[in-house]
Amino acid sequence: MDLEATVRELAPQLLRFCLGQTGDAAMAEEAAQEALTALVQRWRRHGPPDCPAAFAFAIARRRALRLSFQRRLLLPIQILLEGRSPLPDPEEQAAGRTELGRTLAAMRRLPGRDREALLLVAAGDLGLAESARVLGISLSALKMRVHRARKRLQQLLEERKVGHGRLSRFSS
Amino acid sequence: MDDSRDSHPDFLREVLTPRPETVERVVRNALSPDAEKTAVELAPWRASFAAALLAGVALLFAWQLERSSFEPAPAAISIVNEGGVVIATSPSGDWLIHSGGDPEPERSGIIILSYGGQK
Repeated sequence: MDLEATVRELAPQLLRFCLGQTGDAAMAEEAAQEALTALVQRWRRHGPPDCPAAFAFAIARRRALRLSFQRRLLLPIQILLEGRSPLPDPEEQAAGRTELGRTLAAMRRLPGRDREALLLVAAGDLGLAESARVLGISLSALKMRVHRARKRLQQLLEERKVGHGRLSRFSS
Repeated sequence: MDDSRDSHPDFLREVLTPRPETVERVVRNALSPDAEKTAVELAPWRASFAAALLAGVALLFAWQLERSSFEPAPAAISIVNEGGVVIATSPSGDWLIHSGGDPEPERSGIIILSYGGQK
């Protein structure tokens, strides 16, 4: 196994997973960066872990959760200090109309456990066994979560499409 | 990595795909020795900050505990029985008086002792 090749392979996978988890590109980059740095550090000091992908994803998962929690915790203070409106600004509203924005908004409405299972498998491109290992659940439980999340996400995206279509007709 | 990949083609991969420059930046930062050094340098700093914070909380807790233990214990209620009336005095000085009602009548009796007698 080559360290650089592994890092190059894992970087986009981790970034996709973290973006889906946090819904924010800057936070996703921070979480992915820390996970990869931890992997490199571990590799150089003690050799490669049994499964580098599971190692990096486990760290990225924890880091992404912590960052999301911190953001939720600090949001009211930021609004107070900066005098910002809690409503999304025009730029954010425009971003919400893109496909990425719509997908992220739908992802946020999924239950956390189902969302991370789907993201590990579909966005993180991690194997089913590795994903189950990262989440500490059985393979069948993982499959169930992924199936449920996929179904719900599809529903949410279709609802949004219908809603968006109605809105477009109304505004035209 | 195992071969049991998610078999369904998923749009999530496409939608969430990062920009190539972001990927390059993350890889470069992770592999640079500076990143490792920064992480190593930060770790003890964070640990010492957390330890100092914990020590502060522990000291505060101990001080609170000590302060509460020095507070005088509330005085006990004194109960006195005076001629069939029970008088209870609370720490605030209020008196709670309870009358036991009519005192129990004293009992009296005659004991007859006989010696000998007819069989």
